[in-house]
Order: sequence, then C-alpha cells, then structure tokens
Amino acid sequence: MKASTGPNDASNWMAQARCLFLKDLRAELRTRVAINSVGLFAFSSLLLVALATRGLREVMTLRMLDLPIDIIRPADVTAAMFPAWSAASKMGLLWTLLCFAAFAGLAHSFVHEEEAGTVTALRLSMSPAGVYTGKLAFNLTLLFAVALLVTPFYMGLTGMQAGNWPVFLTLMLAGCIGLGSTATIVAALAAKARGSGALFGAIGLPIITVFLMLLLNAANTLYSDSTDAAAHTIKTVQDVGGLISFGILLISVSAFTFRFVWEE
Amino acid sequence: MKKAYFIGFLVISLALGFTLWAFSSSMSPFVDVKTARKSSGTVQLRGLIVKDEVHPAHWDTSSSAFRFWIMDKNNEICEVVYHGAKPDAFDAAKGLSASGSMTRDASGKEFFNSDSLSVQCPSKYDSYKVDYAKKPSGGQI
Repeated sequence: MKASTGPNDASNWMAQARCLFLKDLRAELRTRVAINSVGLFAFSSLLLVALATRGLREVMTLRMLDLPIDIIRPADVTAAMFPAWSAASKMGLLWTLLCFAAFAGLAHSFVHEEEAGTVTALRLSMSPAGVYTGKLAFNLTLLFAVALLVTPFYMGLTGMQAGNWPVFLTLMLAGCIGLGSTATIVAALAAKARGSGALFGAIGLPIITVFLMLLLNAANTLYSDSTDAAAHTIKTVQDVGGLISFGILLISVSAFTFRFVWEE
Repeated sequence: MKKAYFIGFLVISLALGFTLWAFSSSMSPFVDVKTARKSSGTVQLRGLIVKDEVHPAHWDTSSSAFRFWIMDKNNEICEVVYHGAKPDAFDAAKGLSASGSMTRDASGKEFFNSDSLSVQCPSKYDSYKVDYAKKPSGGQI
C-alpha cells in the first residue's frame, strides 16, 4: 500500500517547497513587482547616498592622541590621520539600505497570496512547512540577488573596503539569512492583518533592531585593527557566529510557529 | 515527530545561547569598583568625582590621558585614566560613568582604563529639592 501523500505528509514538504519556490519565481519573472520595488528602492537610495556623501568621503580627521608629545613632523601628522567616515559606519549604512529595500519588497510574498485569493488553495494543497520553506527560499534568493548587485556598486561609490574577504563574505551571507528570515515571518504576520505595509515595518522593528545590533558588532570587529590576534579571532567568532546563530534561531522558531500563523 | 521536536528544541537552544553570548558583547553594565575588578570585558563604572587635594584631576602628558578619581556607592575610590580630552562639564559635574575596564600598569598600580565618559550634568533645580520625609520646621504664610 502506498504511503500517504497528503499536504501534511512530512516526506512531501521539500517537494512542495520546491514547487512553491518555482511558482513564485515564475510569477515574479512575469510581473517583476518585488524585483522592481526592491531594485528601485535600492538603486535610488544608493544614488542618494552617493550624492549626499560625496564631500564626506574626502574628509580626514586627526586623532590628537596619536600625535607624539615632543616635536611634530609632517609625517607624524599624516600617520595620525584617518578617514572621518569609517568602514564600519559605511557597512552600517549599506545594511540600512538593504533592510529598507528588503522591507519594501519582501512583504509582497505573502500579501500577494492574500490579495490574489490563493491562500485557501495553498492552505489546502500544501503543508505549512512546505509553504514556509518555499517562501523563505524565494525571499532569500531575492535578497541575495539584491545584495550581490548593490554591494559592489556601494563599495565602488563609497570606497568601502572588504577587509578580511572570508569574514566579509560570511558576514554578508549571514546578514542576508538573518534579514530574509526576519522579513519572511514578519510578512506572514502582516499578511494575516490584511497586508498593511506600515504594520510590516512596525512588527519587524523589534527583530530588526536586534539583528542590526549584531550586524554592527560584527562589522566593527571586521574593521577593528586589533594587535592581539587570538583575542581578535575569538571576537570574530563571537560576533559573526552570533549573526549566523540569529538567522538559525529565527528560522527554527519560525518553522515551529509558522503553523499557527498560517492556519489561524 | 518527537525526534524532530527534540532536534528542533536542541537547535533553538544552541542558537539562542550563542546569540545571547554574541549580544552580551554589545552590552556594558553599570558596576561598582569591586565588580569592575572581577569583570574581564567592558563595563561602565559609575560614581562621584573626587575633588580634593590628595586626588587631583590632571592631564598626564606621559600617557596622553586625563586622570582623575571617582568614588563608587560603597565609598571605594579608584583612579580613572581617560584617553581623551577633559569634558567641558567636568568641573561642574558631581558624578559620571566611565566605560572601560580595570587594568594594571607596569608597577602593578591598579586603574580604570576608559575610552568613553558620560558626565552627569549638574541640575539647576538641585537647590530647590524638598526633603518630603522631613516635616517642615514651621513658618507662616
């Protein structure tokens, strides 16, 4: 006798998630609503940042405490100078930009189902685990694509350095996972409240605040010039690992609680 | 199903623990001198600025730092070495909190190494404060 293949069959949810992901991708490529809203927001804010910070990029600050007490040579003054706009704050602005871009477009994933009236069909044909995984995969793909396009432009416009490349790439990846998982569960909650965009931001704010704090800690560690290599490695593991674990935590909790959001 | 719940619970617990550990690095609690001595990370030492002739606040040219003394709630006195310029409101202020960690110099002398100060602004309403626990001594309207 063949095993059950109903919507709630545990062995079936991966195939369902794949189906939903491909359906969303196909629908998105057809209408390009999320791509346009995320892309438009990202590139218009990128242009604004580039114009607004044109003067700031050239400003240098003098760290008085690095100057020697006795005779000051021009070389000493040059050595004590550093850019006023630090790499860590550039990273902070990049993620502020990506956060708003994500929040502008990712709410669409669940809201669209509510608006099109396809929620009931989706609820009947798929398990909550399948729906959550499919939507998460779609949102993460969209976010990775945006980050992949925006980050090189941003780095070129602001002169942001990558620092340690493996750590930088891990940080970007962990950031995308954290932001994508936050946006997915918040979009599901907001869609239940008849898809208010303002509500999406309001519900997401407490989670996003924690995420941004962890991300800025990791960015500060990435660009810090610590002389103690061992302590710096531990700090990197703590901060970047914290960002990864935040994403894992959010995905795990969402996977367990999504059933209640979806079926209520 | 029970196995899935067990694995899920384990993953959530581990991820929560690691996230809290990472998040704790961005927090610096307010402590007294005794606790600051035991802490390994960055803390905020809060106390009253000691302004007497034995403990003068001064700019130390050898270490390019501003040195002064503060007294915590347990009346324990500690020297603070602040790597920055003297704050404008320092002379008028009664108390402050210094962010940093407890260290020792080459001679073994203990001090609080700080890179950030929050000076408590003196309130212009202080002289009008009324001690409500105390009964008025009298007077006529």
